[in-house]
Amino acid sequence: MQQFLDQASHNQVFHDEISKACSNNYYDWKITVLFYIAVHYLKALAAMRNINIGATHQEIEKSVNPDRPGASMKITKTAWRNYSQLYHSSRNARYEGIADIFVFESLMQIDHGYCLKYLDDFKKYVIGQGLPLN
Amino acid sequence: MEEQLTIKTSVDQKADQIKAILYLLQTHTEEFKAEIDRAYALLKVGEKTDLSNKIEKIMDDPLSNIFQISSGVDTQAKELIDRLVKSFLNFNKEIIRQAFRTKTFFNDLHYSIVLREDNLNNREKMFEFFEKYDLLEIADRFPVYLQFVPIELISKIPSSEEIIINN
Repeated sequence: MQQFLDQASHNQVFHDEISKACSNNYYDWKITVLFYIAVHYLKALAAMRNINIGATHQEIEKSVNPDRPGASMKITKTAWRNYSQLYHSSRNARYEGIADIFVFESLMQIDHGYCLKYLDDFKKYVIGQGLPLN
Repeated sequence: MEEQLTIKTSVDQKADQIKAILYLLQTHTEEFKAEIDRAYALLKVGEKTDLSNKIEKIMDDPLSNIFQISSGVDTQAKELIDRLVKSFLNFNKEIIRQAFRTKTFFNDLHYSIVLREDNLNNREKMFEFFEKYDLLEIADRFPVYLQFVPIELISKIPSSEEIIINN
């Protein structure tokens, strides 16, 4: 479990550092890092419960999505929505179809604000599940 | 009473969407059946239609045709998913100001959406699409992107079509 918490913490520090150093750009990267913090939280929760939820997004989705019959570690609907919204936002952030970098950065800046909220709510959920986070 | 009416309207809309999809499938099936009948009839008198030629090509060179078939299936699947997304957007028309299919190099299922009010609740309603879609096996093969865009930036995003929201 600790290794996943360390990775989450590592990513959080990285996010905060680039947010300080580059306060007006790289929102696509910031969003992607926020999503991976959530991934590590989930993996830590699974490790704490001795449940294998897999490594890829598809495997994790099948293991934790509350709408999946037989999911091995269903999380609450609200937690799933926060996680899923982070996932889809990070996918949009990695999408290369919008060529105008100014427009893309502007969109990502707005999405980043929402992702901070999604991750904050998701963090509250995993803490409520007993994950030892600061 | 008002709530009952709202529920009824919502149920009616869903029924209309199902009818539209069934009608589409029925039309496609009937057209395909007619094409098969024509090909069969003409082959009896020694004439080949496009369909007969395609079948013959597949028999002669099955490997190269697999790629063409796969590409055709992909195109049809994308068209169907595109219809699903449009239905979903219409279903949520009260929170959408404008919606566009984004013009992309690979013709991805990418949509630029201007919400009437960009807030957590409205974004959540849009993300509900993925609650159903992500359960389908096709979700990994045909990813759908819903990108929220402020009205002042929408003109700067190239689009292939505006999605008509029936208000």
